[in-house]
Amino acid sequence: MRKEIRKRLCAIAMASSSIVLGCTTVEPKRGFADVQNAVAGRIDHEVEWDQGTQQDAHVRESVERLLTDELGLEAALQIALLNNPTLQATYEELGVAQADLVQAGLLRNPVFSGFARVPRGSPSQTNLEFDVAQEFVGLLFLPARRRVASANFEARKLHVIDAVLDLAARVKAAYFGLQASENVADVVRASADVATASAELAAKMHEAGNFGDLELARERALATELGLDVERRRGEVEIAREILTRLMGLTGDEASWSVPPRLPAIPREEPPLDDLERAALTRPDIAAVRQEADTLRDALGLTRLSRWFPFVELGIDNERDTRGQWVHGPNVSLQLPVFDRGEAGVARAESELRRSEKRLVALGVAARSEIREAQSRMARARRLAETASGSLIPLRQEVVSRALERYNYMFVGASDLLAAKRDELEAYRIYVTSVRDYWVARSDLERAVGWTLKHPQGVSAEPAQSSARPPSHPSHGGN
Amino acid sequence: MSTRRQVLASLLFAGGAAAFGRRRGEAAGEERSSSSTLQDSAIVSARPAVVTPNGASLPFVMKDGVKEFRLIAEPVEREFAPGMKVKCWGYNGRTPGPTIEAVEGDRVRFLVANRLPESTSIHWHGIILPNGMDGVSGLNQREIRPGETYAYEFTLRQHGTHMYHPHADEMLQMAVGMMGMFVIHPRQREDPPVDREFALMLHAFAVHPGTYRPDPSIMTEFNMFTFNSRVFPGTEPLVVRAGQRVRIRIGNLSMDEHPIHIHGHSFRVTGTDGGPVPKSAQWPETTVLVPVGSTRDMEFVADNPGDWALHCHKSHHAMNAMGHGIPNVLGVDQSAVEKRIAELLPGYTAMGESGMAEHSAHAQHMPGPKNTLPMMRGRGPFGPLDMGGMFTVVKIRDGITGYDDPGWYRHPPGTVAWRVQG
Repeated sequence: MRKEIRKRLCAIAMASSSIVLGCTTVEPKRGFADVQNAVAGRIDHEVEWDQGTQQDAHVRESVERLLTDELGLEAALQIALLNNPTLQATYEELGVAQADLVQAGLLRNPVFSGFARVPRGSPSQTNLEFDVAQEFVGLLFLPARRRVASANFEARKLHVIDAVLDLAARVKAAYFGLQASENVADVVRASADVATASAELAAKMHEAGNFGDLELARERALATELGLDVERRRGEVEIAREILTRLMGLTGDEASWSVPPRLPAIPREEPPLDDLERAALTRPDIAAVRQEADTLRDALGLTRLSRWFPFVELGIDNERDTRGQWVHGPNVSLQLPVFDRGEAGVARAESELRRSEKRLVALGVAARSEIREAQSRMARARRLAETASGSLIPLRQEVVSRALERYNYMFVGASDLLAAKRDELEAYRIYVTSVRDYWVARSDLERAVGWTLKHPQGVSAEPAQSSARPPSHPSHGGN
Repeated sequence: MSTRRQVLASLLFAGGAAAFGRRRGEAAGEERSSSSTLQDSAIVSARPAVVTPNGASLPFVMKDGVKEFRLIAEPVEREFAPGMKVKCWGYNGRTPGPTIEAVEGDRVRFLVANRLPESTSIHWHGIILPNGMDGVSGLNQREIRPGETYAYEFTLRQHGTHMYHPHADEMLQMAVGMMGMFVIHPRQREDPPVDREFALMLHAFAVHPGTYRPDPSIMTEFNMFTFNSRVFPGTEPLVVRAGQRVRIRIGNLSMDEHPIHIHGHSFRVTGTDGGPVPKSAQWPETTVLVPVGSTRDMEFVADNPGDWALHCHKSHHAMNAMGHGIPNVLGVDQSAVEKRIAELLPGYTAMGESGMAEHSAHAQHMPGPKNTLPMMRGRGPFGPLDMGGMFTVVKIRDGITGYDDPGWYRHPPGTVAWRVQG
């Protein structure tokens, strides 16, 4: 009888262990393929996880190849996605979640206890006792726990995808910010050149005895002031460079990259922008929170159920008492829900679930608003840029032309001309900042919907470089 | 060649017959009043005794012994010189209005039609007449409202050079060109008789660069100074036969006095808008200062043949418009800076280090503001003349029979300044 029981128990143990031993290996890269596909589908770029394999040498080569030329936006994005160290750290979350998933599928190990008690007196024998016990509830709830861990893994994947999109958006903002600050620095330098020319003329007038000290000092003060502005703008360019270098994860020699000096011109047509608020539903971070809520819902169910079975251990006990008599039998350990009936645990799980659900609502509201805001900023920046380039700059150029006519006929002096030129440069600066605002707003919109906006033909909206340059000043019939 | 007196005498006998005189060469077209043909009276085309350069005289109709003139006060477009057309107000399509010519003792009637957008009136400057004909609106008569026609009628009891101009919103209407000469010929024969006479109305406009209309709010900063509302090189020459006794009647309704100077001759001032100056009181001048609101008659014998400058001697008045307050670049070496500025401003050229004459050369091929003349312009037979504003030429020639522009003077050998060294 005992033998039969023993045999049966052993069989059960063997069967169970074979089931659970089937998934004990942790494969962190399992989820990453999903991440790669999702990223490719949304922003048409590659990501790679640096794990010290042969693959990484290829990644290194790709990055170096991209760095040999002037960096276009796509190249900078690609470098950042491959090379940003924080992103690489984020990928390890998948490893953690995957390990948790595996862990969730494992039973707790059986516990072997052994005692040897030596009696004081004789003729007693040493009291031997050993038992093997197995925590039992785990087996019952194994599928549920695995489900929860799996759901959590999915949520982690979505978080990682979101982290990739977030990096892409920051790279775009930094890239356009850098181009804009270089553009603006050029404009400010041109303006300073104009003031310097005016000051040089004033110096010549002073030399000839036609200008007083006051007039000269005024001109030189203005030229010096604008020179300070040039310095400041140069500083802004350097800061913008560092931001982008950081995002691309470059150091040392690699940090001597360059970008095309002009912002791309605003494309003539907008990509289709209807119904974008719907996109909020599928955004990775929202999907992640939704997934988390589902996970917590499952976990709540599990908690509710398992509060009644907090701890059950079944085991087999064998003992040889001091008289040498072997006794054996099953043993059971139970936790008695006297003080802690698990209500707190349930309440906690309920609160966590509600918190997650409310976060989901908040995110939904924020996402829709972000989409609207980004669309509005994009439209406004486009209008400003179009008005600046279509009306303001041509009008300022006309002022310069007409002022030159007045100068030719001795109605105004050269300094009036130069002042008109500075006004034209200011108009161009307004244009440049509007173009930058457009591209940043567009990138924010892409972040808000969670994918890259495409034009109807499927062609990306990146037009040729160097469209956003100051229209050349019309020259007059020579002299 | 009949004398002026004979010509006017013939007009008095015109009676019911139409008489059209031979027209003398004038820059402007034929002068007719707008309602030209009337059944019962003769249209007498005045054979002008006075030549109004770039202008004309006003024809009249005899009606029962009264000389009836028609004046239409209206907006007009006036070309100050080729390249500059200005929206002015004037009379009968022109500014200054046509010169009125009559004889001392005439009874004259003026039918004044107002086609301006505001009320007007006409004051007959310097003429002795009944108070109600004097033309100060509000004081002597009700204003002539737009669309209305008023009649002025009086007998001329004096002779001399006078003027006519509005006396309602006078400042603005004069600022945009409304004025004209009124010459009353003496009844008695003059001694010595004058062979050729001209009328010049002096005026000043403020036409800002690039604009088409004078600015009536300007009080001192005028920029276009005109003889008969023209500037050099748009001023017609005064063509005279050598030996003729010439009278130039000058009126001034601008805001400044003008010292009008002639080259090659001296003259006497023989009359004002107050009347003739007795011979014993006439003194010699080469420049007559014509005050605001006055006329001066100057007479001389044109005994020195050639092309003689006649101009206001305020040097800025013999230039067209320029900016006042531009930086003084005379003597400034701009060579180093010029290139730098030209890089920033394509088309820029430094000018003025050695004076303003190079500007005139550059202005030939550099664009200027619309409807604006360069400060100085014009070519003579020896090169650039480079004047503007109140500048014209008296062309005195031997033995001419007509008064069309005879071209440039052909100097007798040895009478032209010649280069000696260097």
